[in-house]
Parts: sequence; C-alpha cells; structure tokens
Amino acid sequence: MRTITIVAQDRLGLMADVTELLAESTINIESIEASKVDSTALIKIISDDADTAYTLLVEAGFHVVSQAGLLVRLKDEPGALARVSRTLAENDIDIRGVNIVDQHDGYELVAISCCDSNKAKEVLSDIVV
Amino acid sequence: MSLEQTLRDRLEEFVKRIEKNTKSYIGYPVSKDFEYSELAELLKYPLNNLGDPFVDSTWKVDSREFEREVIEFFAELLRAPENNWWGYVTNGGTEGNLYGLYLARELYPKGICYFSKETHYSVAKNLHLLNMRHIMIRTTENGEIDYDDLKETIRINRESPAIIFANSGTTMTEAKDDISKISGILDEFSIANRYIHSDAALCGAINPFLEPRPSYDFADGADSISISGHKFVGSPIPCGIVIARKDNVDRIARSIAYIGCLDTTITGSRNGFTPMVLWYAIKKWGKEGLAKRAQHGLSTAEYAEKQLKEIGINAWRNPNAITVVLPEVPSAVKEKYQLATANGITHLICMPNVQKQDIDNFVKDLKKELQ
Repeated sequence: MRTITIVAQDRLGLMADVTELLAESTINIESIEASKVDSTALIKIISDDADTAYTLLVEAGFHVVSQAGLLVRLKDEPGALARVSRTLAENDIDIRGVNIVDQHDGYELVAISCCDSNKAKEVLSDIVV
Repeated sequence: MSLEQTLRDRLEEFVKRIEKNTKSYIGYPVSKDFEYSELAELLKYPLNNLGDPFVDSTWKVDSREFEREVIEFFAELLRAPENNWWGYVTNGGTEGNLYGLYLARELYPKGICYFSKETHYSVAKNLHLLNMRHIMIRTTENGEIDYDDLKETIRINRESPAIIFANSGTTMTEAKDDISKISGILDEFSIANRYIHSDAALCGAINPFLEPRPSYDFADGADSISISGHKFVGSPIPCGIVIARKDNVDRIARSIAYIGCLDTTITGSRNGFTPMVLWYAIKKWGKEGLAKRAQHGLSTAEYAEKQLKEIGINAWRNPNAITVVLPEVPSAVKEKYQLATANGITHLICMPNVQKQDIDNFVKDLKKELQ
C-alpha cells in the first residue's frame, strides 16, 4: 500500500471527481481522507495501485505528491524556499525535487522529494502539512 | 487502396469539422495561415531523416540536405557561435526541451535544474524522466522568474552545478526570463559549472525582430535553444527546432553501425516531411517576412488590448508580447474561440493570421455575454 496526496483548490464536487476518475479505471482505494489548508484541499489516498492512480490523476490535471515527497507550507516570498533548502542541507538531506503546487493568500504549498523523507519531516516539522 | 463508403463519409465529415474549428480559434499559439500544397507530392514517399542530420546515412529516402539549411537559418537567427553549433528538426518544443535537459544532465550529472513556476508542464515530466534534481522558483506577477528567489536559492546550493531552464515566452502570459540577468547571478556566486537552456517555443522566431531584443539566445549565454515550428512559423504537423553548442553534443554522440550514422538525436526515425515545411517557409519569407509577421502580431495585440480596455476589461500584455491577458471569460466565449484558461485568466494570442476583424468579433461577443 502506498500513499499519494492530491493538492487542489477546494470546491464542491472535488472529492466526487477524484473518486469517479479512479473508479473508472477500477483503482482500488484502501482509504481516502480529506483535509484543508486555508482554501486548498488535500486528499490523501492509500492504494495498492498508487502508481497508476498517480498517473491518471496527473494526466487529468491534478497536482499529486507521491509518498516519497512531503508537503510544506511557506510564505510566498523570495528566499522562503531557499531557507528550507538550507535547513535540509545542514541536516545532510539531499533534495531531489522541489515543486510549487499551490499559491494563494500569501502562502505557497511546496512538494519536496528528498533522499530521506522521514528525517526531512522531522527537521521541517513546523511547516509540514 | 480506398475506403468503403461509410468510412469515406466519416472522413468527409471530419474534414468539415476541422475546417470549421480551424476558422474560430484565437486562443492557441498555432499559426494557420500556411499553404504548403507545393509539397503535397512528397507525401507519397516514406521520408525519414533517421540519425544525425549532418552525417550521411545508408538510408537515402530523406530530406537531410533541406533540414541542414533550416538549422543553419535558425542558428544564424539565434546568434549561435560560429563553427560550434548543431541541431535538428524535432517533433516539437517538448522534444527540444528534453534534448537540452539531456545534454545538461550528461555534462553535469550532479547539477540542480532551476525552472520557474510558469514553465511548461512538460518540463516537470522531462525532469522526472531524466531523473534530474530540480527546484522550482517563484515567478513575479507578469510570469517572469523571480530573480531574487532564484538568487537566494542558488546561494544556498552554490556548490552544485546550476542548470537553468529559462522561458522565453511563458504559456499563459508570454513572460520572458532574462538570461543575462540569470548569468549575472551565476557570476556573482562564481558558479563556473553551468548550463542554460532557453525554451523559446513561441518567441524564438519573434524575438530577433523586437526592439529591444530580449536576452535569450546564444550571444546572451544560452547553451541550447528549443523553438516550435508549428507555432509562429506554421505547420500542418507539429514540429520544432533544437540547436545546441556542438562541443556539448559531441560528448554524447555514439556511433551506430547499421544506419552508418551517429546517434545524436532523441528519436531514431525522424519526420522527413516537416523539415521540408520549415524549409519552404524560410525560403518563402526569409528574415524580412518573419519580421513582418512579428510586427503584424504586435500591432494586432496592441489593438486587442485597447479594444478590450474600452469595454472595461482589465486586459494587459507583457512588453512586446503578442499575448493579451484578461480575466477569465464566460464559457460560451471560451468555447467559441477555443480560449485557454488557467488560474482565473484567459488569453488571446495574436498569431500572424489573427486580423483586427477577428478581434472586433471577439470583443463584440464578449461584451454581449457580459451584459
């Protein structure tokens, strides 16, 4: 079982769109839970076919963060991401990729994939979503 | 060889639908004012430019000599270094970008690729395919990379080679990253190990004719540039051009015996018809013709911006852009004119075929829907 997280603007029908899309391809969902950060919806899906689900959702235009990634909430200002990079570097955590997945109300949600997600989550615990 | 009647009827209906849809769009950066019927005869033949365009192959049903002329034309336009450039006609901008990133990765396997949030979605896919480290950088309101954020991020990662993926004409707002400014940041941190790829899909063939000329080409510091052929130039089949510094290309070339050629391109078999399309266009228009197309696009965009503002629409453009940005329009207008919309904004792209009459029709329809 693996986890993927969809990051999208919260709206009526979002959950239905996601579950219908996955159901059409008979993706088995072990569990699904939704939460919100400001006006952004986070839908966490656990599935034994997370790779296929990930591909389907990305192709449908959703931002998806895989289990190997973590999601952080930062102020939307120059240098914010750089400070996160420094913190990770100081803790010998190698960054693989950084992608801004949502921006609104002066904040941005950023997906980070790195060599040690668990350690990164500890080190960045105050900003991890 | 012919189709049965029901299939022929279906084909005929499809042609009519495509003709109708082609007439209406003003929201996509695809030229439609082309005429390549003189090349139709070539469709009888299995043209395939497999392998390196600059090396003869054992396969002789190809248009390589024409492809070379196309690349040479664009190398000059993009101010490529004399005797140190190489390129080929691609399947489109995405392939050209993939090629540029591939070269960068081969040169700097431990490099970090910096790209802005307004970068085309295919780049994230390419970075994933190539398994390259990457960091997305903020953009300013007009869609240009945030140089302060880039500077701070590079400062933190200065021990790693820097691979810059710069946009010259972002998808929604036609913003242009200034690679001279970016080079300045790299100089400030003494980062010698660097690579700059310029994604100039739409603007590559427009920029040389703008005043001031945007900073995006080889003379400005680019190591590779990707241009789309079906956007500003115009082609019935998607295609593009990628050009890179030859010494970088030579490092990744491998010799393949059964085609008697070097393996330097992304795909093996390559379209032999699209180089003919581009060759025809550059011979027909030349630099002067391309300049006229650019000026027409700019003048139409300026007109569109003015007309929209006159009916109270908050329309704007980046400097010297043919893309006019406005708040999201009603669905009926979006559908009719096939307008791309994202994050609450819509845009018109004043390609060479868009006339003032098309703008007048659009503004009239928009005004009616908003009443």
